[in-house]
Order: sequence, then C-alpha cells, then structure tokens
Amino acid sequence: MRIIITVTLKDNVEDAEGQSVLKALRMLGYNEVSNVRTGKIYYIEMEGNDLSRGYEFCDKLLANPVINICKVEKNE
Amino acid sequence: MNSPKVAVLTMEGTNNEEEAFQSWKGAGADAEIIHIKKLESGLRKLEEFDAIFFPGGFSAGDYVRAGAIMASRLRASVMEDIENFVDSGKLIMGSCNGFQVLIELGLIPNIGKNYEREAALATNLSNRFEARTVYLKITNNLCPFLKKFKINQIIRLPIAHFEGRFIPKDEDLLKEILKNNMIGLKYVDPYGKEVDYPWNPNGSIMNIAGLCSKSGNILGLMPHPERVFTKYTHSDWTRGNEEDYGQLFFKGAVEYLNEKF
Repeated sequence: MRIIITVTLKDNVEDAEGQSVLKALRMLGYNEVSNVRTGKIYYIEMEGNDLSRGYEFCDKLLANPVINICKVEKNE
Repeated sequence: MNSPKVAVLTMEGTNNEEEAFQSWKGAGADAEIIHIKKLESGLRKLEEFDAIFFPGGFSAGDYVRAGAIMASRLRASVMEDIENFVDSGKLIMGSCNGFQVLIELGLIPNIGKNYEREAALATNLSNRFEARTVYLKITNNLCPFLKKFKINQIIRLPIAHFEGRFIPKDEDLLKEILKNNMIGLKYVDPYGKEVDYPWNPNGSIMNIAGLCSKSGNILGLMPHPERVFTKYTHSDWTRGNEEDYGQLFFKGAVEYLNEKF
C-alpha cells in the first residue's frame, strides 16, 4: 500500500515560510495571490492495508499536535 | 568528593558537543560524550550520570522537524530511564536543538506530568536562520543552572537557529508556566525591555528564550551558553564589555550536584 501523509500548520499558527513565498509571488507580479500556507508531504510505501498506521506515524514522529495537522490518504 | 558525571548526548548532525564537554569539564564535572546508540543498545545507562546535556546542531539533519527524530528515538528506547532520571532530581539541560529535543520529548513544560508534547519551537517569524548575539534577562534563578545569576540581570549569549519560536498548546498552559515561575530567560533589548524583532529574534511568545521545568531540574534554552564559557569566544569580546556568562550556567549546576548527590 502507498499512503500520502500531508502535514501542515494549524490555521492559527503563523506560517513564516508561507509569508515569504507570498511576498516572492507578488514580487513576480502575481498580485492576485492573497495567502500561502506551506506543508510537507510524505509518500510512504508499506505492507498491509491499515490506513490508521499513518496516523500513528503522525503521532509518533511526523507532526507536533501543538502546531500541526496531519492528513492521511491512500494513494491508489 | 567525586566530580558529578555528565552525559553529553550526541548523534548524527548534533554539534556543540565538544564545547559542552569542555564547559562541563571547566566547571568541574566529569563529562563524557555519549552517542545515543549506546543508550538504545543498553551498553550505557543514564543512571550512571548525574546530568544530561542535549547539545545544539541539527540532529538527524533536522528532517521532519528540529529535534523530532532524536526525541522519537529516545522516546522509543529509554523514555522510562529518562522519566526516572527526572524524578531523581538530577539535572538535564538542552540548548538550541537540545531545547527542541526537550520540547519534543515532552520534558518541558510537562505541566500535565505525562511527558506529552505541550509546546512547539516553530520556524522563526523572520523566516531566517538567526545567528548573532542577543540580550537576555534572567527572570528566575531558582533553577540550579541559573542560581549564579541575579533576577533581572541582563546578559548576552550567542544564538544560531531557524526554529526557536516558542508556542504553547493553549492559553491555560501559558498561565501554568507563569504561575509556576518557569520562564528562566527572556529576549530583551539592551535596556531590559521586552520588545519585538530584532531583539526577540524568533517571535517567541512573551519573549521566552529559556524555560525551567516545574521542579527546576531541567533547563531548555535557545541560546548557547556552552559557546561562551569564557568571554574570549564572544563575538565582540575585544570591546571589553563582555563577562564570562556562559560558565555560570555550568558552575551553578555543578555546585548543585555536589551539594545534592
């Protein structure tokens, strides 16, 4: 099975990297861009079919629940 | 009297372990650099030591999040030993990446006493790696590492980090931190005022630069006292306005360990 885990910052956590990307896009002339949020994507290949393992990975390593949100999806 | 034994932990990507080793040694401790593999394999035990130091750097390349991989490896292998170490009243200190590991391990703030992650050290608001000297105010000297300082004393220490913005999980946790007088150091301007960037280099809430545990035997801080054991390694020591601030952290700790253990 291949799963995709997306780790992003919670909405109430200021995203400094996102703000820098926003500035850069505007400097390139893309004035329609109003906000940018960044995150990390992990593509994980594993044996078995248990998607809940992905949430365990988040809990044990990939996300800090104080600032992060984790989304786990199956990659068909 | 035997010198207190200190484990300076290391793994791929940490740095400052040599400075930390020399600082503890200079303060009178019997220090040793220990790779965490030796703890994981059971070859060495934390109970052999009186203090643990988590150095700065980029443990495991800072992949995933700063300090996360080192913390998760220790959590999976020796968490019970770490909890027993904390309960025994022995000392733990982490600077920079070491502070990030302490937060990820749940050793600080640990208000709930369940070693869960209650806070984060997020990316600096400037979105820059901030490497310079900062002004700090000592706001609590009950913690052994800070006992040699006076309350409200202004000191200068070097910083070098990208992820130092302290974020508590909620307002209640921050209230508990304040109630228990856990803030050890704050970023200030040269006059001791708590102001924003650039004096607060990362946007840390309430200008928090360092936190002591509730019981006082753990200190985590973003600045690097081990880099300035003597004033001669300060960036502008030739101007003559520096003091040996770094060594006071280690001397206070060694003094405490000599009295208690």
